[in-house]
Amino acid sequence: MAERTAREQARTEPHVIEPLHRPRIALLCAAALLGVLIVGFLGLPGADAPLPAIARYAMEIALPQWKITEPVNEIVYGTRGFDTFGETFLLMAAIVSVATIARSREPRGEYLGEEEAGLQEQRESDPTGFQGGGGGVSAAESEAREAEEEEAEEEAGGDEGEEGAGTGRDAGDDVVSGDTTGDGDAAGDGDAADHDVASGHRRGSAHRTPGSRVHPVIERFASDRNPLGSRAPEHSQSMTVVVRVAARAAAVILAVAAVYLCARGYSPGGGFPAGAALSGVALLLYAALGYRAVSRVVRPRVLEPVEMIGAVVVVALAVLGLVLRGSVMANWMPLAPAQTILSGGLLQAFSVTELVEVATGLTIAVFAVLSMRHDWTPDEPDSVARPDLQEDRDQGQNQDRPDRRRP
Amino acid sequence: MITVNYLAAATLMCLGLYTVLSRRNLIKIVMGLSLMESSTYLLLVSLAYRRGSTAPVILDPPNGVTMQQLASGNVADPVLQNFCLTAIVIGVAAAAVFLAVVVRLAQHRRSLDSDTDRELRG
Repeated sequence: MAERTAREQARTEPHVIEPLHRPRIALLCAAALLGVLIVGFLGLPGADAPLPAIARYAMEIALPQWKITEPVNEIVYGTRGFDTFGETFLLMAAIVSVATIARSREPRGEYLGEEEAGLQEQRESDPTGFQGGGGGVSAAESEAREAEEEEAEEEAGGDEGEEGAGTGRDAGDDVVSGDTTGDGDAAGDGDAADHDVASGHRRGSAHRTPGSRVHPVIERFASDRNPLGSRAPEHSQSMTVVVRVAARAAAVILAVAAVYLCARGYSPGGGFPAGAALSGVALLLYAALGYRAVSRVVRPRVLEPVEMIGAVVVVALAVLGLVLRGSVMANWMPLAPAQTILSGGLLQAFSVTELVEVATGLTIAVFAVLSMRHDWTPDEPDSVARPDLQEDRDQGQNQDRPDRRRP
Repeated sequence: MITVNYLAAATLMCLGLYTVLSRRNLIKIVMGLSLMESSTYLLLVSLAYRRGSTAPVILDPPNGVTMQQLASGNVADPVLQNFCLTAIVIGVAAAAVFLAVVVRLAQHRRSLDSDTDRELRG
């Protein structure tokens, strides 16, 4: 019975049938690719084929020459070390492009004219957005702008450190326990009042519907009635106590596991998976505790120099091999006995720098995408609906610094 | 046995290509690219497989087997595992680039429909 109603409910759920773009040609191309792949795969070596020469070579030299019992690591950082060297900078190029694309407007030293060009382009491509009696922006857009500005202000207040984070967490407890009247206000100092104004009508509506069974937190932060672009619920940190405690415990274990994977490079592991696991720690804490919990470490001003220092160390390791031993990535470090942390010499050093590169790189990339905010074109000066807002915005632009960004 | 993996990799690759070519939503196109990418991981790891082999970790060779014999066959191919390892990290970074571009495009155009973004045409 319950099943049937669920199915009926699903059937009545509104959904859009998305039109495809030339599905027949796409199907034809996919089928052709499948044919090519199958023909290609027929020529692959089977499961009984001997290992290729480079694999055999790596297996043979791993223990005698590098004193390392893990041939995969020996290949990643030794035999094919130059390949990994290139991959490091491929990764870095990707990170730099993400950071560049995601970065918000920065103070300019000279006239570039991009704002005027952007306005003109917008006027051509979206003429409707520029109609409507004197106002250059719609009501929804100005609300979204206002919400982003409020968040930027709150971030400026939230940078005070441990104290702010502590009260923020307490406020989160209050929200979870259902106390919708006193929440969140402890988190901010000066901006709490603005916050009340912004969300007052929402809270009021929650109280006015006593018959509804929706949890107050959901009602307030996750309701479909909240317009798009209104301020993010993230500051409330509305995860339950269970999730937050579990995430703290798991983060420690995950961090130790990451370091262990890299430190014991003579067993399966190494810098790449360790770095991915370490960036997982930052994501886990962010998801469970909110941005304030990680904001001291996860900010471009901290991570980007670390990433660059890691890249410099990679280059130095490679070049020193060339200087001291005559070839790039040659081992110039003393080799410790097999199955110790330092066994592998250069391999281990390379692996540790990869840990730094991958961990900071992935964290920068993910948080850069998460922190992308709308790069608003300022309202046209002659059609400003709210002059007070415009004034705030001008001030905000003057003190806009790259580290003011926030996921 | 391992043929199934090859077939699965080929199928995933083609599904990804079909998604990229036929979908109009930019997020779905990025998902298709990621699917194509992961099909190569499956292919690389499957290529490393050898019948009756063990993981390529040298502790001590089993009794009576020298290191050369061990290297000549009874382990999975470590080079391809290396490729897979680095490909995963690069894949994540590439996906981040795609998504960053998509977010900017969506902010600029207020739509995720690739069919309406025709300014780069011609």
